[in-house]
Amino acid sequence: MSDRAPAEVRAQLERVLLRGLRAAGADPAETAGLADLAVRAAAAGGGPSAPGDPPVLDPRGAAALLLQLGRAERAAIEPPRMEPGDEATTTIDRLDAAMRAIPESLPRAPGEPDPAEHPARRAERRAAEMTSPDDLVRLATGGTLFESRAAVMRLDRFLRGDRGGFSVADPRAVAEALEMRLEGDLGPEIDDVLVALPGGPGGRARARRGRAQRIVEKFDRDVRRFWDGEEPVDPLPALDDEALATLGTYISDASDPIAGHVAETLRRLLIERSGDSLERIVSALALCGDERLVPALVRVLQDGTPAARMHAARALAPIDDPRVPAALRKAFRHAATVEETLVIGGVAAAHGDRVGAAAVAGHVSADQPPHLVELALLAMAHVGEPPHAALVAPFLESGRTGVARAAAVALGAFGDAAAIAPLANAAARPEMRPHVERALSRIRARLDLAGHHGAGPSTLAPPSSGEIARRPRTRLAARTLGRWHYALGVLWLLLGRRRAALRRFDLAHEHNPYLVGPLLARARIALRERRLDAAVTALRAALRVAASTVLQRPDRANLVIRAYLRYADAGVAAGQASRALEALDELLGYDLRFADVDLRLDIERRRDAVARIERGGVTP
Amino acid sequence: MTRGFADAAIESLRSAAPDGRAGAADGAGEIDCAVLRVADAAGGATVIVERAGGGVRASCSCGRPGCSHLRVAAKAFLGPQPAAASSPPRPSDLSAAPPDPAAAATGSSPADLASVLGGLLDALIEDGVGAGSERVDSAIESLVRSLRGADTYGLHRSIADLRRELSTATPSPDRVLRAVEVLAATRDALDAAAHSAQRTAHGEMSPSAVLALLVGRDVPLAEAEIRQDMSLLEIARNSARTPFGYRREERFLIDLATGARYAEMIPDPLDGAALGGPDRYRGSVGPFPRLIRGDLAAIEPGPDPRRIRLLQYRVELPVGADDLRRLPAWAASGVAALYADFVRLADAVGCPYPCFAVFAPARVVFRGGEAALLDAADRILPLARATAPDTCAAADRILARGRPELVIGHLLLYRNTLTLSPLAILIDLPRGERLLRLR
Repeated sequence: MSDRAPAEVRAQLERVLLRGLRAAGADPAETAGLADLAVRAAAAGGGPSAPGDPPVLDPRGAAALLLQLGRAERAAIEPPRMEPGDEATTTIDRLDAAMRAIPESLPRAPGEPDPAEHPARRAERRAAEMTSPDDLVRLATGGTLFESRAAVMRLDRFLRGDRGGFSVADPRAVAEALEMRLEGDLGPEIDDVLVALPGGPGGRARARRGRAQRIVEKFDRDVRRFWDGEEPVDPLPALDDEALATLGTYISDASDPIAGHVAETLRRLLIERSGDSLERIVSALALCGDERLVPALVRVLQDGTPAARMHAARALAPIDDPRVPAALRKAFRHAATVEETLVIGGVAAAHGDRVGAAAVAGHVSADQPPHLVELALLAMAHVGEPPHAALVAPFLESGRTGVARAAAVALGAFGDAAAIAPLANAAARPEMRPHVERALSRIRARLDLAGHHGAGPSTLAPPSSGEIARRPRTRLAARTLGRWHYALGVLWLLLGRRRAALRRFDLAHEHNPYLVGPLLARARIALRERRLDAAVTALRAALRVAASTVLQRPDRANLVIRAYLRYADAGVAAGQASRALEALDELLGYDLRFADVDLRLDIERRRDAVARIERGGVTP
Repeated sequence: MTRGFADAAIESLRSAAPDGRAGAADGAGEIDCAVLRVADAAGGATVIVERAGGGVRASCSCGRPGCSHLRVAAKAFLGPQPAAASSPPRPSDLSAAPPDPAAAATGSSPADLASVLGGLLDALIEDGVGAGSERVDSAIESLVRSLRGADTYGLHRSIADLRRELSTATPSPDRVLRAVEVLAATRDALDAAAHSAQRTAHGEMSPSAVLALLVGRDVPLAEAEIRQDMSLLEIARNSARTPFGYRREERFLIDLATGARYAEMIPDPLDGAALGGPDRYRGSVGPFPRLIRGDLAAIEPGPDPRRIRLLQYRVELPVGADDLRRLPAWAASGVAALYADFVRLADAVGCPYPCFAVFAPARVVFRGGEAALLDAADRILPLARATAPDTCAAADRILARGRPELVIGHLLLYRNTLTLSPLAILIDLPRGERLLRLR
């Protein structure tokens, strides 16, 4: 046995183990070393050699020697100590370098972004460099999710009166502009900013917060009662849609017991394989992000059904946490379906990981099934870049509303001026108009930020279909007569004489086709009589007359949603999933921001389910 | 002994039914099911032999495939098995095909498990742990299949770690070698247990602390220490998907009265897999963090943190600030003490093994946004970035938000330095103290 140091012997043994005994034995350079290791292994208690035979290093002996050398090594380990006065942390640097044992990558060129840096960090830097509140509003409107969030956080300072570092701007106008951005995933953050402000935006934010707080506080009490044993039923799956949507939206403000309870319920539902409840809860959690739920959501991403995994990926999208990108990359690798690949690829791109970019772009093709094209287009909103506009724009003309809508969303995210003209033309379809408007506002905001003011056409194509392609002004007498018949119809309706009321509403519509009241009343009566086709036809006519007038009142917007949902349910029950899907897609095309959030959530969920049925994945 | 029972049973049946020799001449029917109760030190199990479909199926209530209860029952039907012809052990043949672990693992005695592990280790060492080979892959996958459904949770962990490491694009030599060390130490412990088992009446595995950790089987309740009226605070969770049909869910608890640390090990089934036998623990429930009033708990033998089963308990929400403030009193405040704990465990086990640690750092130093923990003597405990980069990055961000009071995790040896793979952090934030989980 040679008198080499244990560390040297260990290094050689490790080398042999990494290469393998077979390979090392065949290497003449290792022969002497192997003989020495064999002697040491025999001394360590390994090896079957008989007395007198030359020792041979076999697997058992090698393992015994490895363990023996490990014991000697452990006896010598000592904690590293920070040298006095070493606050520059060179000790830690040295340690880090030793720990990682990964060579540093090539240095980047000046200004080149760090590929490992999360997009949220770049967004924070970009927002921090902006001094104009108007530019920050533009960033909040046209930026990515993380850019919008960073802009809102910075505007918070401005609106709270800390004007240092900002150029002059009208706080009221800034608050109102911010409130316009309320639609979408930044709702709670914007409410946080607005809630402290006087005036309309502040009042409305306080009202929203108040409603949410009452629901969350009640849920908090229910959770405690459940764990105290006073309440036998888990309160989370028992929540109605409105409460669940509110909880999902404001989960980051909820107490630790609530967040912990949500995580525990997700675990239970996974074990019980309660797919529907799990999907319902996880889809509500996608309305906002909370880092406390990352372990639970990652678990759903790993263990859930494909549908639950897609919802979990969407729920992880807004969460700026280092654990998320790695979990998404792993989930992408293990995706079992194309749908999963597209959704997870898109969300991973939102977190700066373009692992799914090629798969997503490859599915933006007319040869693919429509539901995959739609998912790919939605993912393109994160994956795509301005040059992709030419690839996506043709889908604005798709007969399938969901596909056209997703194309508008993607084009809005690219921020390319070339998309303005096709988008403006797509506004001719009433169900596309709100999405086109949002996409155009995003593009214009980004172009303004880049210094290209007033790019592209400023007007949208007029509505082209239906009875109001052109709205000639009716004569005063006809308008008056129309209102008279409408008033009589309402009177008959109050007296319970539906048939007489319907006749009057028909007459009112005949005289004044631009009056939405009679159309809505017809829809209400048809809904009560379970004539869902007639109800949706009447509502469709009303929306073509004045979608904004109809949908800006919450009660009317809720009526529209309920009617369409029932119509879709009837379609599914009758085996006409495509018709149901078209109706839901049309509904999602309208501007529904004034409707109750639970109903909006219900449309998304119902659409998911119907799309699956249409693809033949599920039977109704 | 078994034959004696069979003979006695035949006599008993004959005396109860004197015309039994005539068979079922009166058309009363055929035997449809036979139930045998097999006694052992762990309380025994019930073996059922019944008709199923066109054949006959045998199953045991312990749920382990090829368990010792089935063998005892088989002897009752078949009589003693002929002894295998003894042959001297052959030296390792480098060109031989890999052993079929599936066949060996159908028995779950220490000797069977040691033999199965030996086959995998031979393949690894002969072909090279860093080189990768079909033989190694096939040995691992075969082992995974054969141990699926068994309750060898500690062994599952080691195999899963090795499998995960080998399946990465660039396996870390250090981590692969550590995994090999753990498997070699496990085999040695199983060998030792097999030799001692020969001296026990029922061939049961000796309940040593090492085996409890490395193999980690479910312990019958009769072997656990029963405790009452404990106040436990859950301080960390860990969760990992395994290839054995379950997700390993660990909850780490601390006894607020004594500072003793416990771990709940819960195998959560995946894909509707049936798991474990009668001793399988299905775990407690409740949101993290939680205060648990343990009215009745069973504590299994083993190293710190010992496995605990909460048999009767109540969950109290929310955890009060006073309870959280009691935690640092039970934490290690010096890095040297953590090193001593780690070395003690590694010496007992025979190899470096992840050591649960609750550390109260004196301060945290940041470099480029990355945190390192220091004690009052300026000894450094780095985070295990090479092993869990994302969890460590999440820990960095939490540590930067306030004054960290505790970092809870596993100590891992990397080269010659201990690192901490964090599981949870107790931090003093402007809104109060909060215990945040990372896994």
